[in-house]
Order: sequence, then C-alpha cells, then structure tokens
Amino acid sequence: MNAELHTEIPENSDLDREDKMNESGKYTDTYYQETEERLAEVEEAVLDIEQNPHDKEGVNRLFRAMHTIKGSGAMCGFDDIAAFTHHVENVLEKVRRGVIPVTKELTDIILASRDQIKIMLEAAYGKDVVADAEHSACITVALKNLLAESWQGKTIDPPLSEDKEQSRTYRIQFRPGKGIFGTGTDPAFLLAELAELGECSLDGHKHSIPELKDFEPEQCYLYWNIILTTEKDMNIIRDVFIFVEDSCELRIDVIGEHTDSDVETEHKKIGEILVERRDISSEELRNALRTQKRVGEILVEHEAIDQDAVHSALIEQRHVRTISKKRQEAASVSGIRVAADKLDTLVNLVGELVITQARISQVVSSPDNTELANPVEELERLTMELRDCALNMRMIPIGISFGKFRRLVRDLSADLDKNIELITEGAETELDKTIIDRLSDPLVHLIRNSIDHGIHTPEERKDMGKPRVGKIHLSATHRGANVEIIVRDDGMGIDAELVFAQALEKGLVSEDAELSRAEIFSLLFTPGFSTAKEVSDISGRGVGLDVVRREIDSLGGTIRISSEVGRGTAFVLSMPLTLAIIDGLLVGVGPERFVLPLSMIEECAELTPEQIAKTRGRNMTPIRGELIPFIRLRDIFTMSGTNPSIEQIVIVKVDNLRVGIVADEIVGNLQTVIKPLDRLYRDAEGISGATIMGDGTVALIADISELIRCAKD
Amino acid sequence: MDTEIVKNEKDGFALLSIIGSFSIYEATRLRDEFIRCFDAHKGLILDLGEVSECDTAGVQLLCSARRTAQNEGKGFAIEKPSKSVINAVTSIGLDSGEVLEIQRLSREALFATPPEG
Repeated sequence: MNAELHTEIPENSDLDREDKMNESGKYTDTYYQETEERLAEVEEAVLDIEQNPHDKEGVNRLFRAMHTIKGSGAMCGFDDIAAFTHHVENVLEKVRRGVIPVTKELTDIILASRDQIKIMLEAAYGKDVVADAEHSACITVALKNLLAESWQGKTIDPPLSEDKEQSRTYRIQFRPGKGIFGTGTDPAFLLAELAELGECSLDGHKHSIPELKDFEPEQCYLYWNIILTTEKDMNIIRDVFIFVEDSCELRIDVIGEHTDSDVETEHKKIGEILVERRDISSEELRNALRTQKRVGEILVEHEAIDQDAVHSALIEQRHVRTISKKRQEAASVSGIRVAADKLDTLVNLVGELVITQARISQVVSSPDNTELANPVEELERLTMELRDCALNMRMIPIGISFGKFRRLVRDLSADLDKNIELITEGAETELDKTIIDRLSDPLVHLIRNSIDHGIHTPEERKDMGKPRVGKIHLSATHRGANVEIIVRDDGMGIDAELVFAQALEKGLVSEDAELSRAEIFSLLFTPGFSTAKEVSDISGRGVGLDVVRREIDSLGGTIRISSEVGRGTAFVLSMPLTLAIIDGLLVGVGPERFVLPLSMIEECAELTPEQIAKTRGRNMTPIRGELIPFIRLRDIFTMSGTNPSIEQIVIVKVDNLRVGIVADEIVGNLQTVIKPLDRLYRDAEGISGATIMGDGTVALIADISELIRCAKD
Repeated sequence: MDTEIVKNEKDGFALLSIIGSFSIYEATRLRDEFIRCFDAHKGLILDLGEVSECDTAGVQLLCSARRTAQNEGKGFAIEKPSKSVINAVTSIGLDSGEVLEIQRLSREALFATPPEG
C-alpha cells in the first residue's frame, strides 16, 4: 500500500521554475510574512501539545500550519521549503490520527524542523543566513524514522482527501442493533465521540420504546438522526461505529459542503420581491402567509410522515442554518493584510491633517467667522476620530510575541537542567506594533535573567522548600494611558545589601549614601554592573540590564525592580500605548515652545526671585523640603533673551531622581502627533522629536533623560 | 454499591426513591418494580435525586414507564432528577423537558389532576 498520504512534491523541474519565481516574485513578501506567522503558530502549538499531549485541537492547528507552509511554498516557488515541510506534514498526519504518539522526541523534531524552515525561509528571502542542507537531511531522516516506527505492526489507513480545510455537513442515520447493550457498548459513548469531531446536532427517537410489560431492558429501542459538520473525512466518522457497524443500520450522507469562501447569499423569497416591487404591501404578505400551512403540517395531515420525522428534519434545517450563519459572521470579521509602512504613511498623513485642522480652528476662532464655527467644530471631531482609528490600526495584541518566550523558557531551562514553567497573562492587551517589536529584545533579556539567576535547579529549590517547578509570570495589563508589563519569577530574589556592597566596590556609590531599596535596585541598571558570581553564556556578562533600560527609555517607558530575598523578583515595565502621539506639557521659553512628556512630570511650581537669590548660583532649590537640582531650558539650548522675574519649574522624575526643568511659562496640556526631526537634526542632544502647533510653528519635544545627562556633563 | 429502592405510598401513589445506579444492571429489577407499582397504585412517583449513575438503558426505562402511564391512564412523575440523569438524557439527544418533565415536577401538580381508575 502506498504509505504517502499526500501528493509528492515533484523534484525541481528547471523548465518552469525560473518563470515561476519571476511571476511569483511579487508573492514572495506575502509568503515570507505569512510563513513567519505560521511558524509562530507552529511553535505555540508544539508547546501546547507538549504540555497537554491529548490536545487534539493543538495537533490540528500544528498540522494546518505546516500544511499551509507547504502548500503556499510550492505555489510561490519555494520548492525546497515545500519538499522539506512535506516530511513534517506526513508525520503530523500520523500524530493527528493517533498512530504516532506525542512524545518529547516528536516535539523536539518538530521544533527543530520549524527552526530549519525559518532558516530556509530567511535564506530564500535574501537574509544573511545559509540553510545547511546537511542539517535538513538529518531532520528528514529523523522524521522518516518516526514514520517507519509507526508502520511496524500497524495498517495504514486509506488516504484522506486532499482538501481537509473544507468542512462538510453529514446526515448520519444510526439505528443500533437491539443487542448493543449486551456487547458492553452504550450508544451514548459513540454519540459523544461524534460530537468531538465537530458541530453536532443530535436527535434521538424514542417512539419505538414499548410499554413496561413488553419492555426488554437489555434491548436498545432508541435510534438517532445526527447532523454533523466537520472537516473530518467520512471514513473517520465511520471509524466511530467500527465495533458496532456489523449489527447496526448506519447511513452517512453528505448534505452540504462549505469552504471558507462560500459565504452563501440568501436568495430572496417571492414574497419579498413582490413587496420590493410594491406589487403588494408587507401587511398583505403577512396576512397571506398566516393562512399558509407549513409543509410539515401538510404532510402530517396527509399521514405521509409522522410528527417525529418533521421534528428531525427541522433539527437538520436549524443545524445547517447555524453553520452557515457562523461562517458568514466569520467571513465578515476576517481582515485584510496591509503592509506596516502603508499604515505608517496613513498615521503620518493623519498627523498632518490634525495639524492642519488645528490651524484652521485657530483661524476660525476669531469672532468674525461665526458661520464657519460649526463646520469646523465638526471637522475637529472627525479628525480626532480619524486619528484614533488610524492609531488603532497599528495596535496588535502583545500575545503575538509571547509564543517566542515560551520557546525560550523551554529550551533554556532544558539546557540548564531547570524545570521552569512560563505563565502568560493578558495576551490580548494591545500595543503599537513598533513598541512590541522593540520590546522583544529587552523582554528576552529579562526572561533569560530570571532563568539563569533567579530560578535554581529543581534539587536546589526542593532543598529551599520551594516547589521543584519554577514559575515565570509574564503579564500585560492596561494602566491608564500605559501598558504595564511584568516579568516575575518565584526564584531567589535579589539581596539589596549585596547589590549595595557591589556598587560600593565598583565605586558607584559612596559608603555613607542612604538609599531606599528601590534606589539600590535601580543601581542594577548602571552600565557594567553585575551581581552574578560567574559569567555565563546566558546572561550575567555585566552588560544587559543597562541596555534594557536604555531601550525602554527610548520607547518612552519606565522600568523598575521589586524583589524579596527567597521569594522572587519582578521587573515592572510601563510602556506608552503608542509612539505616534504624546501626552505632553507645553512650556515656553521666549518665543520658542517645548513639549515635556507628561508621564515623567510630577508637579509644577514657581521659581521666585527670592528662591533664586537663595540658590547662590548652584541651581538647586528646595521644593517641599527636598533640595531639587534644576536646569534652565534657556541655558541648555543656549537661547537668547532674559529670564522673566518669576520662572516656572517643572519637576520630573527620572530613575528616582527628581529634577526641575525651568521655563519662562507653562502653556498647558497637549496631546500631539510626534513628527521625526529632519536627518540634519537627528543627533541634536536633548530633543527626541517635534510637533507642529496650531499656528504652524514647531514645538520641540524634550528628551528629558538626555537633557539631564547633558546637564551632568 | 448495590442500588437501593425505597418504596412508600401516599394518597394512592407509589413513591420510589432510587439510591445509587440507574442502569442496565438494575433495569430488569426496576422494570418489575415499576410494573407492580402501576398495577397496585394510581400512579408512580420516582425520586431520582440520589441517582449516582444513569445510562441509555436507564433512560429507555423512564420513557417506557411514561408511555405505560399514558396508555393506562395512570399518573407518573419524576422528582429531583440528579445531574447524572439529566446528562444521560441530554447526551443522547433527547429533550430533558419532555423525558423528565422538569417543568411539571411538583407532586401537587400531579395530584391536581388525579387520573381515573
């Protein structure tokens, strides 16, 4: 018997390969993006079934993803990927049918295959990697071995139909043999098994059950009509009845086929058309219909069928309707794929529009333009809605990157002989795509850190009275205009005293420094600081946490550590939802305007001549009993003009350090679209971007951390 | 555990409380008991609150008892069907309202329309 279940991918036929590549060149991008997503799905599904080997849905997801990678690969000219994936798919087909069990060996091979496909994909896409053909061959051999083992002593089922993605609706008429109970089979088990295959409507018929005096308890009188919608093949349905088939009446018919694309359009009924054409009114139609009998009633009256049969047919009708409705709903919410740079352009254009609208509003606000006031107000509302809508399009759920971390935890903990579980929460929390992309590296670093330093080996944990399995929680939640991401482990925690001692040794703090726990922990973010006793491959090379902080800072977020010795450590990241707009405080220095990010601002105060007199040129002033260093925007940007007699000081908090930023005046709150600076000004220190004001002037967005660094220098 | 059948009588009706399993293994014994109840009483009230396990054969027996009551003009009601009974009925695609008459459970409702004979 032919062991292969799917059509073989033909060897590269040179004649049409070239053409295919040229023609499909335009599809390469799409294939690349899609396959990346499918590979992420594969990773997720493998980890799912590894945790729960009976997760049938996980196996199906895995199979479908590989099937898609193979199919579209062959279509877009990635023949080697298609050929390689074909072997994986063969194995997965067996897993799906329970012939090959889910074992560590299997998941390892599938993950290795997934990584190899990724390398092949990147190599084909022109990235700087080389797909090692020998490695591919090794994996293929391992896959084939798995298949070979599964054949021993097992018969191969007939091939499944090719179009597995297509679901069908079956009508199953099942009348068990009278003696079915005697064989130890309860039909309820078979029905439950059927229900697992898909969407199932059961209709049990009980009118053959006699009165008690004729009732034989060991006989089965019930029979069933079942409507089942499933992607499974008819043979799989028959398999359910395999042990009772000889003694029962079984009839399986296909009564409907559905593909994802077949959103059925309902045809109009004659009455509806007549109403539409105004030949009759809807009232007349209703009256006429009221006198009409239903087909079922007519047939029962004519004694052609009994009530039971009508009831059964109604169940079938309802089932098919529900399925079709569900598909329509699914089709209506399905999305389209848009390139990220097109969205960027859209957001930029909307940004321009917002600015233009603000200018128009300003012009119209003069009293002689009363006529325009209303339409302009409307324009303002529409523009805001448009802006929110455009920004929303860039938002993606953070869960997309969670899959990667599960793999990281799995592989790293295996390397280090640790037993660690990653628990994720809030995967649906949405963030700007750019932020999610750029958060990936810092999060990888934090998780590595927890695995390497935070959580010990199972034996060590047991000795310390902790559960053998360590846990890392990764969670994301909305907190106002920010998203809070927490990486928390239940490891050994960080010893604040040890951190302080090391900081002292490295000369980062003075011996008499009085630091709070939070301040001590924030020393860990200082470049070159490491508490790890040994330098390892994974982390603890003394670089890292400072890099993490820098990246978080550049995204406009904050990071802090909380930890308790013996209980665990948590890294808490607070990130803005988007990089495209900023909530800021607009301040003025002479005619110039600056925007300070609101998230960093603690309070505002006045700086009076008396206070300045007391500073004696040291640029420090007491605010609420604390001596706060301050910097004047005028000084740092070397601007002309004189300071007003009463200046404004905005207190910002950076790394637990409170600093005052001094300006001439505070204009007010402002939510604004960030525009990047021209290349010429990219390196301008202390400025992270710009925004255009309603009157057409430019306001610069201050990079506060950078400003403070400049001031220190 | 052997299934226990507790038999009582009230206002001419037989009251059977079934404690334990209600399945193919007890079906013959239960059928005979039901027949005796219908023969000797105005009707039968089953308390299934303590049924720990029920299978398709058990459900069939309930249907048969209801049919007998209808044909002979006797009363029949099921009280407090346990979760396993309800599951057994719904899992084979029967209408639990119809088989168990959940909506007309109360004994008062049954006595309100005493059957003839």
